[in-house]
Amino acid sequence: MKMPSPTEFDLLSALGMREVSGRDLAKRYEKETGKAISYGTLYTAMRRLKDGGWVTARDDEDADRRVRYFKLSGTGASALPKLIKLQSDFALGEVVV
Amino acid sequence: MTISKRVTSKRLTSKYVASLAEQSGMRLSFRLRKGGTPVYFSERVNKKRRRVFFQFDLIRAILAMVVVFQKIQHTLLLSLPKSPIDLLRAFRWLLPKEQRKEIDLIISDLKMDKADMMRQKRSKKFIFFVLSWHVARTLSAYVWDGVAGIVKKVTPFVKYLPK
Repeated sequence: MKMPSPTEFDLLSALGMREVSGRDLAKRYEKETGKAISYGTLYTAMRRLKDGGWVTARDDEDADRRVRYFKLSGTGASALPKLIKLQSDFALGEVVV
Repeated sequence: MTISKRVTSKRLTSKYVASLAEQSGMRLSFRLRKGGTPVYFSERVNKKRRRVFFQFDLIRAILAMVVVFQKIQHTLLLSLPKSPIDLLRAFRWLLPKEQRKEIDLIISDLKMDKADMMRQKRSKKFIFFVLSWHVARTLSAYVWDGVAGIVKKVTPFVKYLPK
């Protein structure tokens, strides 16, 4: 499993354990980080995360629009807490590179 | 100028063409191809008449060029995207199939955003600028993704370069 970039890590944190649509994920990301994310960046990052096995994606079609729902995969869910711990340790300076 | 009896249906047309050519100072002859279609050969008869014919042709060519230019201009102006979403829709065709689906999703999300902004009674200019900003960032994200992909594919070959 490939190490995610900072943006991808923020997206994973914003995703949580529930299934979220791309538009809602962008809103949630904006609320949590205070930074706006374009849909282009979001979908390309989520594609990379999907290829890396972190998330699963499901396409659905509403009355008049297409929606893609993202969800943390099993391996992603088990790896995310370790990643968060690693990130916080790194921020505290406990990890020496 | 002789017209073969075999091409009865073509006779009238060939005579007309020949008379036209003679008016403009040209002598016309033709041979028949296998299917019966005539192939024309022309030779200059009168230099003065030829010059007049050439001048007339030049004016016609210039006029034709002007008309074609205007048509192209008109088509280009009509095909200009009227909204940022149209620009994104046009950009979609430059991407591979998988990413085209993503662009479709982005377009539907942007339409939802637009509907939300219209519900909040935002001005048309505001909506246009917000959508343009989103589309510009989306395009740059995809262009950057493409460049990164190329760099990733090219990097392994760097080791084969002479030192």
